[in-house]
Amino acid sequence: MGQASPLPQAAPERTGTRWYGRPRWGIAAFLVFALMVVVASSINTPQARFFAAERFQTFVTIFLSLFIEAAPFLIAGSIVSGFIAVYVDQGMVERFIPNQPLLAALAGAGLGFIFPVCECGVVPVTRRLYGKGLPLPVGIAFLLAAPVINPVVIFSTYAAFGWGPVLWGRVVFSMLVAFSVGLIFHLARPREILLPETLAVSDGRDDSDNHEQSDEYDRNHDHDHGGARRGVWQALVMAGDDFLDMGRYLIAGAMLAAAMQTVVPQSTLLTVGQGPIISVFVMMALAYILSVCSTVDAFIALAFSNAFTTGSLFGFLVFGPMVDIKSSLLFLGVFRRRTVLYLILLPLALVAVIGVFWNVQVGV
Amino acid sequence: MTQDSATITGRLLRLPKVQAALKGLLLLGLGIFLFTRITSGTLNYYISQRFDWLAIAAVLGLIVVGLSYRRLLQEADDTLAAPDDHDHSHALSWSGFLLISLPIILGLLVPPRPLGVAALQNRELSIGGLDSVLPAAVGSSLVQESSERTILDWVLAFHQGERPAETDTADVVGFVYFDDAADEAEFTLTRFVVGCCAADAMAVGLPVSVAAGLPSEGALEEGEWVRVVGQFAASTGNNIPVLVAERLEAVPEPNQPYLYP
Repeated sequence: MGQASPLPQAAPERTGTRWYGRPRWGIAAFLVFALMVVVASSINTPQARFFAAERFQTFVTIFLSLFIEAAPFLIAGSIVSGFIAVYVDQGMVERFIPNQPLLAALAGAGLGFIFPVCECGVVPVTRRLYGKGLPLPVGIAFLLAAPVINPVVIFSTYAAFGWGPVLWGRVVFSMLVAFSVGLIFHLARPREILLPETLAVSDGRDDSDNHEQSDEYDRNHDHDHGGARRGVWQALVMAGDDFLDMGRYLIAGAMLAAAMQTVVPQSTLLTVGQGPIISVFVMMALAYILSVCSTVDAFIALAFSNAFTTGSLFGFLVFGPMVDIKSSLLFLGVFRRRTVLYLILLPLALVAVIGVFWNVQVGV
Repeated sequence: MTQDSATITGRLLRLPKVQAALKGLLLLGLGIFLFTRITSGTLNYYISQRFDWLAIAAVLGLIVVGLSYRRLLQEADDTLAAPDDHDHSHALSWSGFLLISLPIILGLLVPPRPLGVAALQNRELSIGGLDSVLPAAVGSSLVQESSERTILDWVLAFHQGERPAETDTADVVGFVYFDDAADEAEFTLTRFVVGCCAADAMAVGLPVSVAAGLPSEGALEEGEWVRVVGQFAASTGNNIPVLVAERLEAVPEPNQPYLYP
């Protein structure tokens, strides 16, 4: 469905409820899956009843902990996004973001220093900036790099590993991967990449034929949110809408991550994962499943630092913040499904190459 | 979802006023839910103490944002005439509302409890000897006074090669975990170490054997919180010494169930 025709179905928002059919199916499926996994795995054990309850308790605790930890960042990101919606106009984005693809991707990768956000906060901000006509590569590079390239995360990595290859490797490789993936998306057209509702307030320079419609839609949008009066309260309402929009994905992602954590034993992964190649993938899988916030994942990685080589740690520290269960689901609220797949697979491939190369060539 | 628009409730939900009211209430609800977790002291079952202020900020943010819908509600009267135009990406369906209320629903249905024995089933338990404990960097803040050391402090100290002196008396609190791996010990006194939130919890534990005359394995229940006072005996094989309990008493679950590095 996501990869349907390259032609834009004329103004999808006109077709009423159509738009939310898509993501909702995914969420429903994930929910059912998560619950089934939890239930099934608990019933199999001998002390079935007791364990089912205990495991469910653990599941709920981990789910709520992920939600409570991420909610402040998501609401902060949404509020920033709401204020961008009201106070930033398209001209400003065009003026400050370089148009040249190389520079644009580089700017995106470094933007995290200006907006220090983690992987939950970055998504609503990026979505809103896309609505304001942010070029694709900038947004994608920002989305992938910002969770690492910001002062808080760099400091926590320093606190955990000190000055050394892990710290600068993490920063350099994150920049590199985000920059490369951003550059790849320079070739794509926003309409093929983004969900219609992300583009709804955009006039996207690639869709000139859609221009008037978007403008008209823009006006409707403003009207519905309170006529010509724009201001703080309107930004807050938009923040609320954003939070609820993204919150669905966050909650589905947190449930899935919690289910995986309650069910998949860490030791299975870790005992399987030795050797210069497999270990990189194991660490990436672990990062994906754990879905820990990037501000603290350095401390988790530290726990594995004796059992794993630096190259494998890069798998955890570079790939994890870019994509994990939680953020992949958040991406579904911004991008088309196929794009989300690319956004998982491209960093995966690049980080795997970097990690394996490091293990084989540099050692240690 | 096509049924949504067909049914009465589906049509009701598409009214801007209903949307605004439900969204506002939901955001307020989330804020209040979080607030009750803070006031009931159960917040640290989920996140590290260090991030308490973030939760408070989230409560404020959610409530301010939730209240802002009140304005929209008042103005919704004017736009009620054209509900169809409003049906763009921000409209939530019933299942959307349900999904977002899941934290509240699950939080109220399942009484709050910190991670316990069940969470150990698929986690590594770091008994001092294991290499993968917390780093030397964290250990620099090690508590030197032996009676004030936590399980984590002891495990870190042993990990750094320190050996207990004769005079060292440990006084530690943790929950009972029957670990098959440690044969000399009767149980492992365990705590979870949390860096950020319960999702990143790691378990640390000290093997404990019980001195004669004290209740032994039979009397202890797995998951029970106990305070152990005693000295370390040199251990063979495994390089973490076994703690010989001279006093063993049940204690209520601490307010801070996790340890922080």
